[in-house]
Amino acid sequence: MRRAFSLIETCIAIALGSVIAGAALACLRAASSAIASANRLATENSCMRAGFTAALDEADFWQAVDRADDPTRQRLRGGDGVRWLPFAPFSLSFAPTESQIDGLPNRWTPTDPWPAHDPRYWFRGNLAEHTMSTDNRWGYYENFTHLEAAPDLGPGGSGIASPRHRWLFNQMEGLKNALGYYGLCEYLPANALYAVYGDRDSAVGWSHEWSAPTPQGIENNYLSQRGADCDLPRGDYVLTMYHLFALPVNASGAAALAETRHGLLTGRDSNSAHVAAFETHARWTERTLALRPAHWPDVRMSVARYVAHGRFTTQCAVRWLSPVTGDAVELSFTTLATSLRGARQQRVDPGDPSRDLDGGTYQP
Amino acid sequence: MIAPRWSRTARATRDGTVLILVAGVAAILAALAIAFLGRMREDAAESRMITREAQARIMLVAACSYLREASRLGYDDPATPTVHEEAFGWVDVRDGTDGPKTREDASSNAFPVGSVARCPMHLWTRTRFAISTAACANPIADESSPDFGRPYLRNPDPRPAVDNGWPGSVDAARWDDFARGDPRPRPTSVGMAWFRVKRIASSRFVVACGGGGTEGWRDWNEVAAAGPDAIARFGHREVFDALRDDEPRLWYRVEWSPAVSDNMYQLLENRIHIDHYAWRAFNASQDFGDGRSQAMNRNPVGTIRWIQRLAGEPADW
Repeated sequence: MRRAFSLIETCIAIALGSVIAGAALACLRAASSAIASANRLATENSCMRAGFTAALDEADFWQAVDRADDPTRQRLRGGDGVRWLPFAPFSLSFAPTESQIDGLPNRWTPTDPWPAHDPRYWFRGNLAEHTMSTDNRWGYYENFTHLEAAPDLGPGGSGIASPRHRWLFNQMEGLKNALGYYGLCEYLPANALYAVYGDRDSAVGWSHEWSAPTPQGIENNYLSQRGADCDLPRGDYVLTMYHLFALPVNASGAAALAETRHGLLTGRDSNSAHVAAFETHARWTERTLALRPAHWPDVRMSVARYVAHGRFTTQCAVRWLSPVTGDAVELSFTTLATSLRGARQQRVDPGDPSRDLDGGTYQP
Repeated sequence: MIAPRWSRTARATRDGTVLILVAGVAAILAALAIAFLGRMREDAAESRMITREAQARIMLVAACSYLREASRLGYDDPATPTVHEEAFGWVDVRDGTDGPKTREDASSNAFPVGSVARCPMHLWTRTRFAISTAACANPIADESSPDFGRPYLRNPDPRPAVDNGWPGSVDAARWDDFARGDPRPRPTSVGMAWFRVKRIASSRFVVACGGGGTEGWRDWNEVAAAGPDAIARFGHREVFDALRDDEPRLWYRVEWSPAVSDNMYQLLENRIHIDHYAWRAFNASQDFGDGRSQAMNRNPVGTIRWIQRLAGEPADW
């Protein structure tokens, strides 16, 4: 006959059983914790991927800047009658009173490739002429090319002129007024010289808005903010070497109009305040998941578009904040994607559903 | 001695309980492991799609580079070794007609409107005119050498990746091999990405970018129409369709421009208080060495004027 367990045996058995049960529980808890961590990391990765994809979508479709299907989210379509925002349709913003110049349509023609051989696109001004301190010692090139049809060049320039080449300058002026400086740089060819003859104050000399030097990063309404040391016609590399032109994404109305004619200092001589101004002006940030469980990471994607050193940049960032560890991580990258002109061609002109914002056939 | 019946039953009950407990714990662990593996697999699959999306987007850069280079370069005719034909742009910079046309043949147009170029982007085993990847052709000798500390240029640098006999008797016996390269695909780069361009106007193109293994074929019908070699690449329609369904495809419309860069930084920015106009004149070559004249402004292949992502697959690409 088997005898019963003694007290010592029972105690040992219970202790051993407890150890085994505890180990099993600890094992389960560790496994469960590992699974929870893995799930959390997987969720974090998924959110990060969602942010990455959202940033690329925004780079391609510009929906945060101008929601094509929602008129209440089209901040950059207005204007004051002379200056316009970058998503205003050219049917409004590029509708000059003169229908023809130099025998050519004085409007934006979307299908025009601006071929290099065509004299229409040749710059005929005097590159050596200064804006601020000229004495016209090389003559009055305003006689050849000008914004106006009959500029009064004064006695030195032989009075009223009849410049033969006005089309290019009027295209440039029209683009500047219709799009602002960022859009102007994109729509003009890469080798464009940024100056036109004719100013609101005087028919003689370069337009001050195009080439007069102004203090860096402060003044609105001047393309050239290089300082007082250079007032010659320049290309977009030099124009955007020390300050850049960005697409304003956080302003609307008059503020946006001003910001589209504003340089932002981010290169040499810039400080943290300048960089902060750039972030405020140019960076669009939004939560990728507006509604999310509290234990999911807070993911934000942001996109900034600007032209600096003559190069167009679409700079994206995905940032996520872990609610568990508090870690903040940012993935920053640039991408080649839809340009402003491409984005305008993705959108329909409200006044003519068969046309895009540039006046071309709508082909989304 | 035979144990009582009740005792055998009790032990069997205990054994069964332990078995159930162990099996239960094992099942829980197995379920957790399977869930974990499943989640990781799902994660990996999603990551792979992101990778393919990124590869497809890289193809947009490749396509734009292709359009720019094809506008001016790549038309050299091996049959005329003393003449190196150069083209003059998609819109000819001389007369505005459609190009690219060479100087020798004004009627030529290698890529008329409607043409399609399909470009699978695997790596070649060795590209044309490849040079050796040896980083240091003339290493400094160690202390035991009489040449120690002396940077002698005993070896040519760079050297071709194809052996030309150096340091023995150098000859051109393998020149053709050097010039032709080795076009066999590197296995690790096959089926990852492609782009395809269709010319839709003088300077406008539809660009398709893919991050998968279809090599830029639009659909199986196109593969079948291309002939047995193309069919052999995939074997069966189902294989092609599976590859197509597994790859991201992006479509863009782009326009090329003959305009190249702007006037240089040093040309108009600096030296403005003297007669820079003459000193750094356009097309001057006297400042070639320090890069301050337009002669150093090398971008002969044009620029991309604008890019438009298309919302969906266009009717014709």
